[in-house]
Amino acid sequence: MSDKNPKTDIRRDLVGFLPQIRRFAMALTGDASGIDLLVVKACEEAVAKSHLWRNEQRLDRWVFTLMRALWNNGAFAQPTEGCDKQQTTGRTAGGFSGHPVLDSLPHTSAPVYLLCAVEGLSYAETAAVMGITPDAVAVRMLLSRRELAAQKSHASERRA
Amino acid sequence: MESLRNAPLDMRISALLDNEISEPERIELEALLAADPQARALNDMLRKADDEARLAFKTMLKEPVSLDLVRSIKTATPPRRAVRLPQARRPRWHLRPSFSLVCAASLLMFGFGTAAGYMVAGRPHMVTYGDMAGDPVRAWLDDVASYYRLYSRQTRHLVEVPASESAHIVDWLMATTGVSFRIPNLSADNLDFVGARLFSAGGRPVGQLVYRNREGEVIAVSFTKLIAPQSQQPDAPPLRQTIRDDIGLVTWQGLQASYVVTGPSSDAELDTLAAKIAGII
Repeated sequence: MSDKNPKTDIRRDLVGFLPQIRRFAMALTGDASGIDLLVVKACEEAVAKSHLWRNEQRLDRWVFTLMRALWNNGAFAQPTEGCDKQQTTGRTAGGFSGHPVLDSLPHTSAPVYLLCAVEGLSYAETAAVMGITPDAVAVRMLLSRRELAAQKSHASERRA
Repeated sequence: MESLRNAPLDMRISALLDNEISEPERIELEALLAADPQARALNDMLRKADDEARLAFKTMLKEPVSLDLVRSIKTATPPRRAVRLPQARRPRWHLRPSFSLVCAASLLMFGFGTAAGYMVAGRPHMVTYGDMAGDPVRAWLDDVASYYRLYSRQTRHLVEVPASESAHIVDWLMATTGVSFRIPNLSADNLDFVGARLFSAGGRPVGQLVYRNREGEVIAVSFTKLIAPQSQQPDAPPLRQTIRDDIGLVTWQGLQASYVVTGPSSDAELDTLAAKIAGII
């Protein structure tokens, strides 16, 4: 996917991955507002540290890892607002991204589900990106699927 | 990941969907799904939910990306790298001296050394800084003559200290030149003591006693610390007279000082006068 020589300029590749990177940012934050700033910061860090990027590593996964670290550092953290909304609405889902599939997932499980079920990463690879254990990945995948299935059955009931 | 054999059924199915279970567990779970309609229904439900979620996530990729975002990434500052400018390859020269080359080089160096030694030995009287500076006695006399030519034409400023301060003159010049002396009384030779002055000649302080005769001509007696002790030659005259243009100089050396009497070269009695002064001073 990104088997480029690490000495080449990765900025062009990053632009190619922008839709995926933005989507991960949205899953990570659960909020559409301000994700571009997080994306820019993550990409700038990736460019600045491009000499550390290993050739055998996929560029998108590396950027996901950098972005998750940035998010965890707290510079872009805004979970308080999301939690409040969860409590007031009684939902177990995450933020308000404007995408039903994201909003229906628990906010800690959404990026895990995205990486595992959509990006095709293994539990171990997802755990490495998210900084959690593979067992935690398995649990979050189950929670995500339960939530998605429940949303689907609710929708079916509403249609009926 | 640990075995999911004891995990809830939906977790095992979830792991199966992610292909994260071992082969025996997969075979066992697929057998269960084939045999149990409830398990199969659960599997179908989770799989369909997965399919719909994947489709929804895929739709998110179609969202437009702002140009500002693209521009910010394209203009991000790349890490600095050491740039090695292309340089022309320098031809390497390997020194591999042969035995004959070593012998030839040794002989050549020996020849150079011998020639240099011969040249040095052939010029024992090499020019030294002392030679370049010249004869100190001659330099002293040159300066004395120059000063005499300059001051002898002065009328009001012929001397620094007048004759009325003879005691001071003796103290002053003794302290400055390091030469003990007496002021000769030459009135019998029609010379009046006018005074004294101090100047530098040949890099040394020189004391000068100034006299004037009836014709107004100036006779000066100059002395300085012994310049260069010379071996006394018994047959050499103690006084030596030289004439430089219109100035006559009579020189001699005492035990501790060099003396010179300066006067007009037309004065025929200058050497006699110098001999008299040499006995008094």
